[in-house]
Amino acid sequence: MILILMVLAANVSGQVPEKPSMLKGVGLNLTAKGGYYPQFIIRLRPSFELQGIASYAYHTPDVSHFTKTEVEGWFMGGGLAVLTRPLRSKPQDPSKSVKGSLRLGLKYMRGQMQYDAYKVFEGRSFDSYIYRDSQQKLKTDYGELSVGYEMVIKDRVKVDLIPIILGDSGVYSKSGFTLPFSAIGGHTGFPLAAGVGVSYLWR
Amino acid sequence: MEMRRFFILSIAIGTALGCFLLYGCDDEPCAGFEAEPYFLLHADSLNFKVYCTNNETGDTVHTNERDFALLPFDMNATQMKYDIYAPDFKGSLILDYILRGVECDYRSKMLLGFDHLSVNESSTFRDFYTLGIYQSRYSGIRIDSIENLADFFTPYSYGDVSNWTIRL
Repeated sequence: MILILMVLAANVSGQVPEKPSMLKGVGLNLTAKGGYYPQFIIRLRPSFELQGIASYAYHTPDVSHFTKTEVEGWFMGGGLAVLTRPLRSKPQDPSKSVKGSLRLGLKYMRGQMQYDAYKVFEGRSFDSYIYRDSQQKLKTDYGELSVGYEMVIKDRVKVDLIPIILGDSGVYSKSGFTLPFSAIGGHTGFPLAAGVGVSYLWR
Repeated sequence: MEMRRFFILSIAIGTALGCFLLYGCDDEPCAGFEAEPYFLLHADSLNFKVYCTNNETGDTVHTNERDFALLPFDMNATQMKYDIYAPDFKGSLILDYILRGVECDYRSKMLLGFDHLSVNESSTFRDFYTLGIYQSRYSGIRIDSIENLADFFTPYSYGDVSNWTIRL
């Protein structure tokens, strides 16, 4: 997806090189639950932003069936952000160095993850027994809805403050248990997080 | 009018019964052990001993002399030998087994169950009784052959430990 977006960006920038509203950028997002993902963005229109995203997440959810569970995975996908300010009738003041907009984000990513879980059965007379349940290369989907605020500083730096990220992804273990897992990382319960992102922009 | 009332009442009772049955099915307890599996050996005499031996590593556990002996399975082995003295040597019971994790939705836990469990034919002690109502051998069923032992020790017979008790 990132490659497609990059090619698309290159083609578009080649065809319309001087279009002033077309911003491109690279950045990094962090979530309060420990997930992080780089992103490549293209703002084809002032009110819409396309994103190419790669994400890595690792966490150890509490699963009652196991003594310890470790889950990690990579996700890749795309997203769309809708910005409110360009949609307003009131035009932006070009003299301002910081421009803010409310934004609504939607992402979809497909990932490959793995988990390693074990349970210790206590031995009374003999040694304890460790039962292992692990799987590799499990495919899973991740969807995310976010609401936040964006600040563009001098058309060079973009700061995203996203207090609400609602996203979830789950996989089934070999034994049939649902392992809570999310690309936003650190997911152990309700799939809600907050995030912050910083991107470098160019035209 | 009476017929209509009877019809409605029948539907209501049928629905309630169906819900009860479905709910009851979900509440079935899980068959499996939360820790080291075991079965119980009971004797009228207090004077008996059992040596539980893991044939793979040679670990041996000596059960205390008491009314009930808890006979463990080594979870890291695939065969256990139980040498029984009551009070003289009466013989050995040898069990072959493979353990596995068992999903338990009802209790939301992982339990340990038997994927395979069989009585080894080299067992020399074949004179047990199942636990009877009055904990007397005369109210239990005699198990005096490999076939009977195999019927008793199956991977699915351990759901209730009280059903997995043998008597000398």
